[in-house]
Amino acid sequence: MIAYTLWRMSRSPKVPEAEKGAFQVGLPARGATPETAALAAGEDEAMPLVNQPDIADPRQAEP
Amino acid sequence: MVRHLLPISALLFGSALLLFAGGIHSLILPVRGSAEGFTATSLGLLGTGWAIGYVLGCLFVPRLVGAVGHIRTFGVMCAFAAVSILIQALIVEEWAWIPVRAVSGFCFAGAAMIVESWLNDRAQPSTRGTIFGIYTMVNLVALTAGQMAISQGDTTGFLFFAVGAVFYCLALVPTALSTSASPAPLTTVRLNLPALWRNSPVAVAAVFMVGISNAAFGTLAAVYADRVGLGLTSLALFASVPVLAGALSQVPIGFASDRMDRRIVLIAAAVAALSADLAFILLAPEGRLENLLLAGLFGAAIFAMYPIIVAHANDHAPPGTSIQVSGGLLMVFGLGSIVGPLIAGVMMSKAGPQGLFLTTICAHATMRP
Repeated sequence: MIAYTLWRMSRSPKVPEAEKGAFQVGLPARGATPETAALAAGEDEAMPLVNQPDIADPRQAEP
Repeated sequence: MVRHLLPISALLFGSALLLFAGGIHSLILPVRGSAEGFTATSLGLLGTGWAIGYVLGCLFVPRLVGAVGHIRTFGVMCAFAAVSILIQALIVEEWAWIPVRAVSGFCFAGAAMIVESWLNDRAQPSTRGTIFGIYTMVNLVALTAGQMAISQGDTTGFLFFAVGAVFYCLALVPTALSTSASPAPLTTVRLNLPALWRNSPVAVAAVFMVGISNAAFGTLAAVYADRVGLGLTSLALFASVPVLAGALSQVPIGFASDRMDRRIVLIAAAVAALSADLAFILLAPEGRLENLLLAGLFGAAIFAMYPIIVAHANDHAPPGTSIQVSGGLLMVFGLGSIVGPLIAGVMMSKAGPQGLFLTTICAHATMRP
């Protein structure tokens, strides 16, 4: 299982440091809600979810 | 600090009262249920009921708030939470407790969403991080205090059900007396599994397993502690220590995950959780100290996994979609939370107290990047 995990990881590159967001310390997920995610978001993301583009929108996947 | 705290102090106070009541409610049910001879499967179903209610609350409370407003909805949530704990005091039967627990899960999700929406509205870009940190701290302290409170009285009677109801009702006072305008509409979440999967299959699979593991432990830790013979104070500590250890461990784990491949940090956390699982199963500890130390290690590992997974998924998400991704993962976590306590309850019925960790070890072993 460990070998399989390492093999799988080797097949997909890690995210470059420059593209990583910050880790957010938070409540245990059983006590979290979608509003917790909104409150914990960084300044650039802090807008109502209802206004956010859906990740399924293919235009969002374009560079 | 004080100038950040004053405008939100009433909200934080209301939230603390709510979490204190929730802490009592989450422990008095398994403790009293065990004393009444409820099966582990039934006690696990309490967690399943809670998770179903919680997920439905996250999905439907925003519509209710849109229809009648924040303050009225918050009052309704607190009132129903109080009613639910009182019904559980009046009808001490498994068939009654499980659906009523779903109602309290719905109310808890709704009330938490409203408080957080309010805080979100009050937060300025420069104070958002501070407000979230204070809110998290207040909630952890209140939850732990509620859990520890049950070691201070008689758990075989009406006392803690009544105390829980009192605090649920008190929680609505600060917001009911508020003269401030209602904030913006609540965050709505869409569970778009195919999109989440395309974004990060690792995150979707892992967060489901974490949902199984964390909800199983959160629901049945007290039942495990009771059945291995820990006293009431140790039982309360067995439920509280992992949550606090998880809060503390997020600081170094988050630091590490921001500086190296998050998948390696996730594997390290899973290996730590597996070690604790194995120790619980093979050593079958009966003493207070061994159980609390292992519970601390277990909590430090399992409660840090969810934020690592969310951070990993957000690393892969298109710009501007992180809240959508986090909200979707939370719903997948909720689905795991529905299944986990049920499986663990059945396992404990078949294999005894260690059945809890036979469930969590399967979840941790199958969670690999």
